[in-house]
Amino acid sequence: MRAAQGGDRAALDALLRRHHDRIHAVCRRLAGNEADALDATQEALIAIARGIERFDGRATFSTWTYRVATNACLDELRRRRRRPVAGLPHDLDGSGSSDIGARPSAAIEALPDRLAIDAALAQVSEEFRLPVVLRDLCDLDYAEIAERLGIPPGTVRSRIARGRAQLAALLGPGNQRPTVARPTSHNDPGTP
Amino acid sequence: MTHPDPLDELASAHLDGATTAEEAARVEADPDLLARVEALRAVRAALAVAPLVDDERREHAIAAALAAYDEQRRAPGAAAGSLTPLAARRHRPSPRAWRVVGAAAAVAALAALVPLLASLSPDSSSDDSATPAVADARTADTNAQVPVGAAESGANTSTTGPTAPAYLPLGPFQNDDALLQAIRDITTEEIAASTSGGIVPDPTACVDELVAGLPEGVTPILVAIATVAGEATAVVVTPDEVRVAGGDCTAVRVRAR
Repeated sequence: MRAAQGGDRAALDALLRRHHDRIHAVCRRLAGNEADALDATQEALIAIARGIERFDGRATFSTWTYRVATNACLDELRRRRRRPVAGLPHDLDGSGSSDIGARPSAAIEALPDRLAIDAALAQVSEEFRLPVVLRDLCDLDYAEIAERLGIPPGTVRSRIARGRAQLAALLGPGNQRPTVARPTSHNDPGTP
Repeated sequence: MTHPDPLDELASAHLDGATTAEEAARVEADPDLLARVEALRAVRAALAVAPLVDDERREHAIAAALAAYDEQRRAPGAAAGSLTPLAARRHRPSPRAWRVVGAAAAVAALAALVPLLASLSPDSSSDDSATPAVADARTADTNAQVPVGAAESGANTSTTGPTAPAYLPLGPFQNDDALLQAIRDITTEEIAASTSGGIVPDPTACVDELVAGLPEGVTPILVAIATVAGEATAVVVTPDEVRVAGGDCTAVRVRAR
């Protein structure tokens, strides 16, 4: 890392290779589709390359790259929201990821694999997907998630709960919550 | 919007260790709730499964990052230690001429805004605790920071004085809302009509990160330093939004402009 900071291009190359897949994983889960994830991953790597001399060691390098990746991906999502959309977003029409042939979640019966996870995430709206991923993959606490997303911590807690419940239902019988016959204060068929 | 099932929310919070002692005891005593917690734990584990990565895409992304690194190190302003054209620091330089014009405009705006902001800033006496952060920034030792544009090795080792990279001081604000209101009150015409004035180094070490994190194609129209609730804060304004960050730069607050 110090060599890369000092201008060693080969050292930077090695660093980027070491961290690429993990950064891509964060972006893939946050974005919910591969196309945006690829853009975000590239933006994250560029930000790391441009900013590596700024890295001061206050956090671990992995933590820093995680943060950069998260910011890059959230930026990509904000940018996507601002773009005019012609037709359905390609991953929100139930077809899942376009490049790896994800299947509809209804077909998933075994333990969740990569395609099943991709397909499930693509069906969870960004509103719920982002806080779940920031919590479960990026390990941010509620307050940090609230700050990143600009929503109150209480909302973070409820959105994480909804997102996880949706994913649990989508990821197959093995992960579906147990049937509990007890009344709740809400009778919402849209709530898994 | 629908609300989550209260039991799902309780189970989810328990998974995160975010329940009260009373709630935790309730979960631990209820097999159904514990089963829900385990189902949600399985979701967490599923998310950790690494997605497929296309080798060609990986190479493309790494090549783009290395190209950006090379470009930054070649940048003429990298070692100069002076105000750097902001758009030149964007991730992927565009050949489009408007971006060059935008960069020039951004630099001009930086150099021109101080008199305007001197009259725009809130009464500094209303927040004594915040004032020194900005005032001190005028003479701050920037050795601990990596200033904008100082990408060449050694460029940031002696950057105090008139050649230090610098940003516009906006003054102290009680909170983000007050800062945003001040920024919204600045019109393009006022920026253009202003004359040059004093500028300060970055006391936050966040400015560079904020600018680097802007979406592709978005050029900042104002890069500045403020003090919000007593904390030195980096401020980057684009045509659509305002980004601020302080502390260790981990929490970037994005607000519509």
